[in-house]
Formats: sequence, structure tokens, C-alpha cells
Amino acid sequence: MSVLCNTCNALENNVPVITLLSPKGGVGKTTAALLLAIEFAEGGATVTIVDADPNFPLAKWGSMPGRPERIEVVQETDEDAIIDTIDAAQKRSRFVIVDLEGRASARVTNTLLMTHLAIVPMQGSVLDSDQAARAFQSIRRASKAAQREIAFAGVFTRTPASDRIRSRVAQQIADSIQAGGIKTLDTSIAERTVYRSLFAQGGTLGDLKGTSKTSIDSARANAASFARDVLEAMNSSKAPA
Amino acid sequence: MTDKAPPESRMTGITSFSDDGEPDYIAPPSREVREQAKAVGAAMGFVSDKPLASSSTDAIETAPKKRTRAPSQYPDHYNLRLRTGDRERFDDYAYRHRLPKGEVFRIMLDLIEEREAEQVRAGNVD
Repeated sequence: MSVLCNTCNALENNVPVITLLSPKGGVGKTTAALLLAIEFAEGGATVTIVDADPNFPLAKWGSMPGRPERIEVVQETDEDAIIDTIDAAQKRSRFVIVDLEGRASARVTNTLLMTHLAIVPMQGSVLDSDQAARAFQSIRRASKAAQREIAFAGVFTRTPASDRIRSRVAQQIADSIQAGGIKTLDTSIAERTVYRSLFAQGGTLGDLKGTSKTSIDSARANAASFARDVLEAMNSSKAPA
Repeated sequence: MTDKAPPESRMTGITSFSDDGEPDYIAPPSREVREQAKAVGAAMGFVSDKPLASSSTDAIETAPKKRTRAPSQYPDHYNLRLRTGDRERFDDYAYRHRLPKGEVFRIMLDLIEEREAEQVRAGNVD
């Protein structure tokens, strides 16, 4: 059983909708979504992934053998119907994870109206940070329109496997985000071959073949730490000020 | 009149994600909220992929316009009357003189113009 079980239980009777968004493509939204889903499922929770990327990478993963039974993948790209799709999903799963495409669209806006926690993956580059800033702004505006607080946090992705290595640009961006009062998750999602293998082989990290145990263990530790941070971010968003 | 019974207290050992004791269900937003959010999002470039719904004003604008007769670009000063064998003679002329048919037509028009001018000079005009 995963260490996430206790935290998952704490969320019982509540169906958090977690959305991964960024107007920029290739920042690791889909990988982050899949890692979260796998971690939650291995922690004993039922998860519905709403694949809102027209390329349907998660639906493709879901069609391969090895998908945990607790994970359901549904495809939805209609910007209006996505509201009802998320609504239906939150009635049948404990977690709903929405993976949006890397583009600014009304689909993003409508999804945010149904979101508890929005996560904005970003790499340590100026291009990424510009688009991340746009994403944070869109979340704030959606909060106003929805007349409720939509919690959000950034997460650094595709970072070197070692936490100690960070470019000067990436460090300055991290400092700038912190100065802007935006929460970033402590755990970064590292650039790992095993994460790419997930989409090629299907299944979970533990099922991967042809990969060293050390690599898998490191990846699983990284994914578990990321999922814990996400749950903490959700809990802290509900904590009284 | 009956007072509502107080809600059952949660087990103290279990952490509550929703501190207000209510489940965190998000109901689908109303049409107004959706439209407001969409307008705000569109201003930031988060635009809709769907074509705009046609309104009544659009319907008026897109109503078929009444067609007006366009002024003729080539006024019909010349009345050509084809008689039996004219086409064959025309084709034969072009073939025998090794001329393109357009050139033959130009020659024909020049001849007609010349003839009309002669009629004008002679005062024999309709």
C-alpha cells in the first residue's frame, strides 16, 4: 500500500478535481497527470482521468495493457461538454484529474470553473515562465468569475534528476515566482526515461520492463513525493487562514 | 415548526479536507458564470474554438441582397446575325489565311465598324 493512503483517506467523501494546465505544450502536463493518477490509484483511490488533449495521449496509455482497474480514462475535447464530463466523473471517482492541451482555449476556462486545484507545470526557461504567468492569471480570473477560490500551484518539470542542479535562469524564475506569492511544489518532476517508457509500454512504473530497478525506484520516489505535495497543496488550500 | 437537527460531528481523528464540513462537490456553473468566464478568458487569448452562434442581427446582415442589374461591360453596339453556313465560312477563312480565330473576329469587327462609319457619313443612320 502506498504511503499516500492516509492522506487519501483524509480526503474521503470529497472529490478533488485537479487540473493540469499551461498554454505551452511539452512542459510535462500529461506526464504529471499520469504520475498523479498512478500514485492515487496505488494508494487505493479511484481516479478518473479526463483526457482533454485532442491527441489523446492518456487515452492511448489507457488502451494499453497494464492500466490499473482503479483508473478510468475518458476523452473530452468539447469546451462546453467538458463541464458535464467532469461533473459526472466527480460523482463516480475519488479523484478527477484533467489533462488539458498546451494551448490557450475556452476549454481551459471552462475546466477551471470545475477545478479545486490547478497545477501549472513549467520548465526553467523564460518562455515557459511567460506562459506559466499567463496560466496563473487565467486561474485568478476564473476564480473571480466562479466566485470561489481556485487553489493553484506551479511545479517545475523536466528538471535534472539531481535536485542540486539548477541553472541560473531556472533559479531566477523560481525566485521570481516566490516573490510573486505563487506557491510552487517542493518536488520537481525530473526528466526521466522511465516516464517516457510509461507511454510506450503502458501500465505503471512498477510494471516497466527493460529498466533498471534503481531507475524505477528513483522515479517512483519522485512520483510519490510529487503526489504528496499535491495532496498537501489541496489540504493547505482548505486550511483556515 | 421544527428545528433542523444539527449535523453529525465528524470523527475527530479524521482530517477534514473541507473544513466547513460540506463535501467539496463543485456544481456545474450557471450559464451566466460560464459566459462571464469565457468573456474574461477570451480577453486573455483563451478563445473559443466554436464558431459564434448566429444572432438575429447576424441573420439580417447575412440575408441575401437584392440583385441589381450590373452595367454591361461590353455594350451591344453590334448585332450579329448568324445565318446558315456563317460558322463554316468563318472557320474556313481562319483556316485558309492561317489566322487565329480571334484575329479573324477582330478583322470582322473592323469591317463592320468601317461600314457603319460609311453609313453615318452618308446620313443613313437609324
